[in-house]
Amino acid sequence: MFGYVTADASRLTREQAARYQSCYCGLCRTLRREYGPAARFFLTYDMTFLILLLSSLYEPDESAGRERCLAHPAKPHDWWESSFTSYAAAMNTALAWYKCLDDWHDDRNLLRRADAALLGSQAEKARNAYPRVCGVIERSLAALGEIERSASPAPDEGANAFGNLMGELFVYYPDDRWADTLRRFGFSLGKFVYFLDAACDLESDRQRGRYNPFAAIAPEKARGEDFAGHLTLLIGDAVREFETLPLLQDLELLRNILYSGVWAKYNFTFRQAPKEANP
Amino acid sequence: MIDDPYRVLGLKPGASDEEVRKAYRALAKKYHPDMNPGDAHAAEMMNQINAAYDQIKNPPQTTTRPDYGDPFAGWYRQQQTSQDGEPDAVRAARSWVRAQEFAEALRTLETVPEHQRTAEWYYLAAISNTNLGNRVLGYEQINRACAMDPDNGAYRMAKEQIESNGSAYHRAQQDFHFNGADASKVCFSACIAYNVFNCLCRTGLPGFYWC
Repeated sequence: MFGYVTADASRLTREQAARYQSCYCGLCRTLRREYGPAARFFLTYDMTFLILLLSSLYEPDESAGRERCLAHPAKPHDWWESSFTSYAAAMNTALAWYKCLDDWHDDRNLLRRADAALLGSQAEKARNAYPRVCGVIERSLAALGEIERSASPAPDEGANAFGNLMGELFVYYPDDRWADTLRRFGFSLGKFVYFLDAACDLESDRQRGRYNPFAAIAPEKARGEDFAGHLTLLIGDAVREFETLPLLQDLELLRNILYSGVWAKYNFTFRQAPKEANP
Repeated sequence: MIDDPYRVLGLKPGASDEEVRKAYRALAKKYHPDMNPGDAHAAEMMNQINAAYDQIKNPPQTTTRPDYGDPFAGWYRQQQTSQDGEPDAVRAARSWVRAQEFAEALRTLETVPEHQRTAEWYYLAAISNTNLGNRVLGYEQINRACAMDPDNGAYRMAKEQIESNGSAYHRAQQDFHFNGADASKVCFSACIAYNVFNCLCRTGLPGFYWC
């Protein structure tokens, strides 16, 4: 997910935007309460999608309120939370920790090591609370690291590892009737996000000689924007699973994210890019 | 197979998607095993409701439009005859594909040197990779097969099959009036102090991005 699975604000109604923003505020509150102030530095909007989807499917009790916070001292903000907010806070913390650890190993980045130390004990708490999901995350990230380091020529390999991670993230009740649908949904969404990121970074990865999963199939001249068809297949797979879930609550908001919001960074990246003259 | 899945959900045939979701949720709440522990009738009702919902959401497939996940099982058998002069490996790979042994098919195809790879080779590789979850490579390969032999109906059909979820996505985008977003307009107010940290955390992995 990581910054791609967000809403398209320009197409939200006022009510939908308020519901989305207050879900995010609830997540921020929960992070502070359960994982300490440092955990909030790594807050992402993507986790809001996870909360909205699981809350829509299982309709747990929600608590809500309004408060001022440090980041917005002037204006009080609405928030709401459900049991899935707590889960999303744990996943946000665990993923931030794994990622910082990975960055530190890759680049020997001392700043990252400081972050990892900051998060370490909190991530441990998340891992103890959700050992199954965190186990899958760890194994998937280890596999992904190996694939990227060896610069695998099979374009799907890294995306499949990342897809496995994302698939498990959406499975809160592993024995539930919808567990497999959620896992397939998350898998395809994860693949989509992985390749979307790769398309946006293709040019800069080439320049810096970094691994990019499209490099194996992209001819020299190909640019990130040439892969819209590939990306559509993957988000199509995800949405096919999504639409079989019996969701009602926040359905239009969730659709806004999946049918429009997920393309925001891609469209922005390639609209800004200078057009090459035709030969 | 249920004769009339809509009736099981208390609906008229052709009820809207929203009505189906509403009816399913209401009935599932009523008959859920957690609400009716040890009640065999409730358990049977729950099974029927689930089966009816699944049937409406995923209508039984005809052989011309097989389900993705097993996309080529139905019609593949009818299509293929060996071509003259093709390498033994391609012939063998076709048998593996027919037997749905896709990993074997790929192993066999790999033995064909790159310069001998025909449209048929790319077609068989595309089917195998798609079935093994290698969607992006499978898509590349079917495009290649179609480019090499644009008149081949089987290749075109396979391409349509591989693209079917993506095509459905485009149609739904139109129906819901979503035409893609622009990041410059979609920023929510992320807390600024945290933004700085998030930017620092960006690397080659799908990173912590902010718009």
